[in-house]
Amino acid sequence: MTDDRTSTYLDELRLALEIRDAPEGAIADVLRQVESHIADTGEDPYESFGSPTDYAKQYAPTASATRFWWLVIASVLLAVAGAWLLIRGVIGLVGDELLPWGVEPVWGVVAGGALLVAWALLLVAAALSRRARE
Amino acid sequence: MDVDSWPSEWLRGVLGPAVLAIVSQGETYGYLIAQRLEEGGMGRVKGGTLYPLLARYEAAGYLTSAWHEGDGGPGRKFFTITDQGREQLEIIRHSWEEFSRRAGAIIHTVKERHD
Repeated sequence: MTDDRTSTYLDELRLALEIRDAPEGAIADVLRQVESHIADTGEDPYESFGSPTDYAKQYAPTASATRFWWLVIASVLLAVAGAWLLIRGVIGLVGDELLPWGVEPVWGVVAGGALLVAWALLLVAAALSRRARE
Repeated sequence: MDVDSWPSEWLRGVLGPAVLAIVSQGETYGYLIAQRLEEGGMGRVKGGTLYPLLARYEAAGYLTSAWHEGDGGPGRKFFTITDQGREQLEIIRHSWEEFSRRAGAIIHTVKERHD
């Protein structure tokens, strides 16, 4: 049986490995090995393996979390900017109002839609890139 | 000397060869390797040290592994030494013996000069 503390450790370790871009197969293997060791010894996982972040670094030492955070930042910017332009554009079209700086609302719809499409393509590219590394 | 108090820098050097030697005796898994190390006087080696070492040896081609299913549990990952691992172990054994002899000679010589 996996107790709550072990479950928490495994969850934290999975996240740490995912952030460091470890392949899914390797993540499953590392988690299972921790679980197996704890089942055999009854030891505390934090005591035996150290912090999940530090332990993850041993398996993915060269992978960096930079790529993950760039994806998060780019997603937030593209999604927020795209949604704002799209909504303002639609409201402008319906209400026959110009956007800030006198921009025609149709351009807001086009630009907003383009940014949302770019965001979707970014997510697909990130998923394909991750799958290619596994 | 307390077997749990070996300097960590000593253990870092000896742990790899010791693990390879233990696995060379037959298919085994992490917890048993840790037990053998403790019985051999190396102290308690934590999982956080042992498993990454096993993974590195596996990546280097010295070991292979296979999961054996457990009864309702996560199972155990068994390790087996490869021919390449045995060759490496022989190289390590030879050079370790030489290193140990030279280091011992220096340490004891210095001690004797002070006595």
